[in-house]
Amino acid sequence: MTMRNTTTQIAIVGMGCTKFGDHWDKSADDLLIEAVTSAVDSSKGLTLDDVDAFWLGTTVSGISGLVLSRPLKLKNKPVTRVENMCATGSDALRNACYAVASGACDVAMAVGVEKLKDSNMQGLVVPGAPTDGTTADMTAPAMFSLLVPAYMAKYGVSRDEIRHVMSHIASKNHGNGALNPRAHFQRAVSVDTITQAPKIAGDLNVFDCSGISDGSAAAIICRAEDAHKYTDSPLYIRALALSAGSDTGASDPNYDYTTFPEVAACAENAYAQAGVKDPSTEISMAEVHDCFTPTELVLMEDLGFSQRGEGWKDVLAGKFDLGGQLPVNPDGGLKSFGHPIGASGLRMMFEMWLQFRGEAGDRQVKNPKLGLTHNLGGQPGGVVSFVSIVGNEPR
Amino acid sequence: MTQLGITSWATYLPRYRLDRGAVSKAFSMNSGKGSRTVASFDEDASTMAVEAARRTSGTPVDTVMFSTTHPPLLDKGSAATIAAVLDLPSQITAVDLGGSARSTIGCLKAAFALATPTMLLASDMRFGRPGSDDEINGSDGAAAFTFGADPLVSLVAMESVSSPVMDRWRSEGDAGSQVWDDRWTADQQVPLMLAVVERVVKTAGIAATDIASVVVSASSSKVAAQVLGKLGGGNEANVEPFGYYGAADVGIKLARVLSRASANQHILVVSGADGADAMVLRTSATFSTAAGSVDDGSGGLAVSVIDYLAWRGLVHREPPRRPDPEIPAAPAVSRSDDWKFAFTGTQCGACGARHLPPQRICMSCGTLDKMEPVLMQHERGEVRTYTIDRIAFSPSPPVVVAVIDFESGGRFRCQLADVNPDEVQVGLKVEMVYRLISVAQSGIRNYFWKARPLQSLSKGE
Repeated sequence: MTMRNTTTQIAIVGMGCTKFGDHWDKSADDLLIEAVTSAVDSSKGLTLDDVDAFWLGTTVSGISGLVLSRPLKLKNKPVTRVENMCATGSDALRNACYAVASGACDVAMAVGVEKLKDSNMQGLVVPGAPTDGTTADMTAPAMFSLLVPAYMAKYGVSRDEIRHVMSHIASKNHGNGALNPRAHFQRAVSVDTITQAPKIAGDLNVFDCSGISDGSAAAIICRAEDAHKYTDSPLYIRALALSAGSDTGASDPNYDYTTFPEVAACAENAYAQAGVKDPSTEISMAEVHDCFTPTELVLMEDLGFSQRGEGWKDVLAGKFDLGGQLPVNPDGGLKSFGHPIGASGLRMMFEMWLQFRGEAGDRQVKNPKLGLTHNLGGQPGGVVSFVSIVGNEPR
Repeated sequence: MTQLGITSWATYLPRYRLDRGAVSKAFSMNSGKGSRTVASFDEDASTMAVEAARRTSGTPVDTVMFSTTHPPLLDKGSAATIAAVLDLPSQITAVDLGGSARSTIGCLKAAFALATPTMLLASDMRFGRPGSDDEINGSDGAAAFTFGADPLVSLVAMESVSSPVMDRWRSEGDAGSQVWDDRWTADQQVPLMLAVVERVVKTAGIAATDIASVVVSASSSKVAAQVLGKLGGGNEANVEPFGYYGAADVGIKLARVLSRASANQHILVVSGADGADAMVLRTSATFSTAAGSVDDGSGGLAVSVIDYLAWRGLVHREPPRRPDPEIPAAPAVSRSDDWKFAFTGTQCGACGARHLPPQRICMSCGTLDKMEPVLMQHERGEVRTYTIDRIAFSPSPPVVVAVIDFESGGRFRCQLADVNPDEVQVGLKVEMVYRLISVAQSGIRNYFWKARPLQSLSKGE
């Protein structure tokens, strides 16, 4: 397989992100306009007219590029809707980067949006194609809770220990979110409170689950050589990788439900592109797809931040806390920032944008060298996984 | 032409039990003692018939008859679906017979008369308005018989009388049946049943004392008790521990008698429904109880009155704010019918990897279109990981979903049936059962396979 870095280097020169939350008073159009306008405003001397092409990520908030061109009143610009489950926002960014790298356009925009709170439904509802009705219907927390008994059995971790690990992750992300004025839930929650909440699926309780939110985020992309025309502090893309699994975990006895093989493959590819040999020391901070607390635990191992079977100990040792060796989800993550599906991947990148510009306030990570964003869609056994590596210097 | 007869028999009783004391308490009435069997929320007459049929010897048949008073669907039959689930050849006659408990007697008469081998499935659910006689004294269950050459049980004689006695009635759409005053019913029914017994003994050319066992079936326990008393009953096989099984009653009771019978015995079967029927059966010289598998009903799980009412649709819970269950698309089902009905996966001809559901390209070696079918419904497996989903919609939350690795190879993720969530753990041994997955608002019933903690199917083996 050949999957290499872009031959032309890419930079992000403008970003915007709405507060995530229950936006009863805002439509998807309002959220898009707010994110796009603030992205344009964050760059210097750039107007919407300068953007040559658009990639819009949304899973359930509309179909086609018209979802973006209609509210923005774009006139015959190329606009493509992207959908790749919960990795939608990241894939919109990836496609925009490739368009600029190809030379087909000079400036591109990736936008993500989701309006989930108008549905009168609990949880996420994603329409699917008709089937023969033989696949077990599961809620998202149930799917990801399958990781817990498998991880406990494989590594000899007790139910109390795994509960403490999950509570630590949730408490960390709630604590980080409390420092973030854009987060959906801006309240610290103690490990004890989390541990004592009633279960909803397997060992997961409500504090183990990401929030379901409305929100939007946007990024403006150009060639690295042009970046300083639009900003004094560009964010450089050092690697972009995406893997889609063959979705066989639920029928392959070789899959053990303690890992996302797609994530490990995707991370390996990204590290090769960026020349990273030891991610646990070379990556300064990471935004990862903490849809549920056991997901974040397993990701620490799949991304190479922890040895196999050791992730739970690293979590408890505080390695991934805001003041730890490798802060994970300094913005609060999906857990407390919220999860408007199409926007989440770009929200992760927005935290990198703030952190590398020194604009992250109370949650600022000191002197970051390389940042990583990880975004996935699907369920254990079959996911699409995205990894990017970014920094404030070009390759 | 040699006469065909019974070659194997089996019964299935659902795992749940409703305690009559709990019913008494809930409705401030006297409902008697003991408990009745209750089909789980994901069972119906069709799935219970499948369970009973899977416990028979599996000899080839060319006719399947399905008898019930509670057909899961109207206008479309269930027998053809049951035959597909049992992986029987499609070139068979699969027919539904129903309307009354007497349908099963009609099936027995026909199966004994046919010149070709037959499978008879009698399955029923008994329920009615809360506190009704059918709720308290009914029970759910199924019986299966195969008929063929070299029978272990033959028909010696049969006599009937048909009568338009209106002892009970139910219109389409009614939750349950209503009954006439059972003292009147007894006065009408008992003499009819005794009269056919007298006739059939004469036709059979035997003396009453030649009869080794008696099976009495009647919806009214008063009628059954009076007939048994007159026939000098006290036969312990007729002391039914759970209740009256409707169209399955005569089958379940006959199977129980057969499993205690010996060679060269006469068995009297008498049924009171729409008149009365009596049969004299005879066990062969080579008769063996090994041909039967009778569910003794042990190991029941208690169901609360409120859950029982919700399962039967007599109490409506507030549904979650979630979309209606997915319906199986008819064309998609027909494209994968071996999988959908018989749980037939595929195995790669190049490397042996098993695929559930079937795939064209092997997930292990990438070979295209070298798959061979592999029937997985009899395979045992164990739980690799699991979850208890407390927010998924179910008529009986929580939903337990497990990843099952089969001992012979292959993996499938599905719901667990008949399970106490507290008993689930990694390594739990399971077997596959055919159940209801969901019933959509449109009325479409989605059936498929679930896993159940290893238990009753193994009893018959």
